[in-house]
Amino acid sequence: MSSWIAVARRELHGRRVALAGALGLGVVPLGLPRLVAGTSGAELRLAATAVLALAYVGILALVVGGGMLGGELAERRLGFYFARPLSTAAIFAGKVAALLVLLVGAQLFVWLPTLICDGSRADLAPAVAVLMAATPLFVGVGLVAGVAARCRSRWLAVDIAVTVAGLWLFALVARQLAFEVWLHPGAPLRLFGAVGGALGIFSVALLAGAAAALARGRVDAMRAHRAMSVVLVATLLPAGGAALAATRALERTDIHRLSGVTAASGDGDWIYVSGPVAGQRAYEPDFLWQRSTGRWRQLGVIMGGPLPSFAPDGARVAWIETDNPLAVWGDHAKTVDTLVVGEPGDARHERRAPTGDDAMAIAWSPDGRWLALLGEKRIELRDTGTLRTRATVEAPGGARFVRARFAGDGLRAFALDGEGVTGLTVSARGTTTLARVATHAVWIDASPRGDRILAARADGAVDLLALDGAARTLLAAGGRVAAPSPPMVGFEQHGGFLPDGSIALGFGGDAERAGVRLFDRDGGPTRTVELGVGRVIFGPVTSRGLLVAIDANPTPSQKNERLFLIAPDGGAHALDPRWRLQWTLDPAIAQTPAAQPLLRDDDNRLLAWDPATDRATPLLPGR
Amino acid sequence: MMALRVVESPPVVVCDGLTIRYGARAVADDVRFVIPRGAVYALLGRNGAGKSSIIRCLVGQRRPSAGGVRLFGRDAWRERASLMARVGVVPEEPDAPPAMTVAELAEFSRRLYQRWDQSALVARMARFGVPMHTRFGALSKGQKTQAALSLALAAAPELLVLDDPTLGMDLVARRELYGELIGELADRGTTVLLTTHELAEVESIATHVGILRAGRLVIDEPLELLKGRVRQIRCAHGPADVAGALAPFEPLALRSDGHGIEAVVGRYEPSAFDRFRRAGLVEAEAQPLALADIFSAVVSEEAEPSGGNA
Repeated sequence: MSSWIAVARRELHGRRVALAGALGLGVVPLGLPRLVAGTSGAELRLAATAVLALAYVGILALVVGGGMLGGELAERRLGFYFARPLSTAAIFAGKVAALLVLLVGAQLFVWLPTLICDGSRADLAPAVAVLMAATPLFVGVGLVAGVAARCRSRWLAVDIAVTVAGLWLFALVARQLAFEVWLHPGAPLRLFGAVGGALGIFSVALLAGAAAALARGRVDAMRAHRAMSVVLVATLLPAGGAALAATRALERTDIHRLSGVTAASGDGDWIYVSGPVAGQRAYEPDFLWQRSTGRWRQLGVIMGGPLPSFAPDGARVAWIETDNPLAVWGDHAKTVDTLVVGEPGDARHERRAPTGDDAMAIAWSPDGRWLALLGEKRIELRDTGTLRTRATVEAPGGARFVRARFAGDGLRAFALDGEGVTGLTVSARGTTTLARVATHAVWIDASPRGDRILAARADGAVDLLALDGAARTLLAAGGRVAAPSPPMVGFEQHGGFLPDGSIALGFGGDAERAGVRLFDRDGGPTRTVELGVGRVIFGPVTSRGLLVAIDANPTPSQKNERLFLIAPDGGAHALDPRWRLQWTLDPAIAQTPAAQPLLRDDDNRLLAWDPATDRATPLLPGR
Repeated sequence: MMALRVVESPPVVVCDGLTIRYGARAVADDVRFVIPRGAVYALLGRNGAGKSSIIRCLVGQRRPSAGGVRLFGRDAWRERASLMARVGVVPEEPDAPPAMTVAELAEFSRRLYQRWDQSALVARMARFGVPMHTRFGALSKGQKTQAALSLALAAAPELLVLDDPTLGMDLVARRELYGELIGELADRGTTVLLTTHELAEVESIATHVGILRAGRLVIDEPLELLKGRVRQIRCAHGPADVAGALAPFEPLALRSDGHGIEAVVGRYEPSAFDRFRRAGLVEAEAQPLALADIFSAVVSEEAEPSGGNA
């Protein structure tokens, strides 16, 4: 038999009573549900057992571990081992093994009654596993604390100072990883890794300190304590410092590299900036930035979920996140989605309400009183005062909703599915009236007054739908807008209402003549504006007209955009050639009409363009 | 023609300039002695003289501040674990785990020694009358020491180290312990290093003596030589400077009263003493001393170191 096993067996001798104590303690949680009414028995047992296991093992580690090394040093009983042909390593390994066996056994014995009672619950396993994994830490704490407390040299002050300083450094690391918004996407994982690593380093440092105490001091308590302190100083502080330095050296996200979806509040003060980040794959962070104050707030937006949506007044924003921020960061296997409505950047004014996990888009009514949550199978209308659902409309016949938006009056909402358009009339009492027209549309746009809808088909044909006078029925009799030639095809929005109610439709395609054709309120053609050769990209509607871009090289890697402002009278004004449209998934759904459209310049700087002055100002901090 | 090569085994213990400091205070200062195989070395000194510290260095439990200790030619600190297979230790305070019985301690120790002699242990424990199945913590002080000695001897050590083993023991227990020790010496010729304050008992078995005073080893020599050179000289007062005449004998202690002068000298030599007496200054006689008297004279405050460790 190896000598360390002999030592371990010797150390365990007479300490078996600790295991009996653990078993007795483990029975206590079984009786708790009878004493505490109105609680889940299993949950209570689990919580109580975890607390008891932690407390018992902690106390056991201090009492037994402290006696195994510090106590024997102080009482000069280590000579028994050192007078025998046992290496210091065997003595130390035997003591550590004995303590490990005792603590792991005690853990199991505390858990045993609960495991028997709730054995079918798989969620017990992680709690037991975490506590088991922490056992080396308990062993280290027990051994070192015993030496420090029992030997009572002036080095005790050094131990305390070093431990406090080391823990403070590791706390700084954890804090930085947890709250630093610009860290790399691996930050959450690194946080877990850092916490685990820190505990690991701490355990190793403690065990190394205890080993040094035994190896250097043998039976000399003062020398042992001094050796232990030296190891702690030499290990904990450099490890903490290195971890902090490594954390500070982690790659930060450059806000200018957030090239994804961007939106701005109506007054342009709050900007929603999103990934993906160039050079950082799989990282698509979402931030709100307030221009006036420079404040940031990271949103826990679900990857692939709906984009945050600003209220028209710019004072509120709505988004959907999971209920677990860390899961949002790194792990998409999440639980319950939450609708969050609040003042941007001010967590105190956030209100949350559960929602389904199928929401694809959020739209504010122009008056800010209603939110439309569009799911694949249904559309929910919620009033923004209470976040309660006032109406739910299921997509008919197995259809899937793909887009939704409010009419300009804020009292009508329209949703598009594969079969047609569904209209909702929103009343102050939350009642709705369903109207439906089959159009096979791929995008829709509602007029500023909410009385007409443009519904475009995939082949480029566009229907003009109208509501009856009581706004109760959606009429298909609005007529068809003559598709300009060559027609634009596809699912991207390429038309809409101008501020005065007239209609603009794009035409042209890759390597073809392209431009915008204007129609009157009833769909009659009025003017054609040719802008060049390429593809028309529709931007937001501004107070002075429609912003469009012609992309002559419509490839992701080679943009050649020219921006134009199309006035309702057909006048086309070319903007600065260095500017291009900020790409958004669907400006009609994901953002309110921006007072100042968002542009990018050649340096990829985000700009706000003022239609009144034709000037663009950078929105984000300088590089 | 075959050449015979004589291989000399190294001394069992070589203490080479051993210095032990606790902070600025040196409890052992440049201590040097050698214990040959088969010797019984009695390391003597007053309380606090540094005996136990030296023993701890000698069995590899404490690192010397300077100098070193070699057991069987190997460094005691660096090679403690393997050396302890050849060394039996009986500490001043028996340090065996109090919850274990002697039988359990024997079972634990048996796995660590190749030459473990369980029957000798049982027989020795029976002679001592110490129960095998009583917890060590429940034994009396004397029984603990007897059990510790039995456990140490059961491993058939080549070197037995006893640190004041009879401390607190009654006369009978002391005699039993020394009886066992004498038996062991007769049977196996084990080398022994012991510290003790029971000088009468140790005088009967010691072959070498070392005496510590204030951390320095002032005497280190075979007991017979020591007893031969340290004598008590008594002489009457005379007209001349008797004390001055005794100077060649290197007095360790000198006492004068109305009856004459009594001196313990460290360098007694019969022919010189004859010349001293023939000088006719005074009547004088020289008496051999017991180890206890020699020790007392050597460690007394006014004594000057002589011989030995010089």
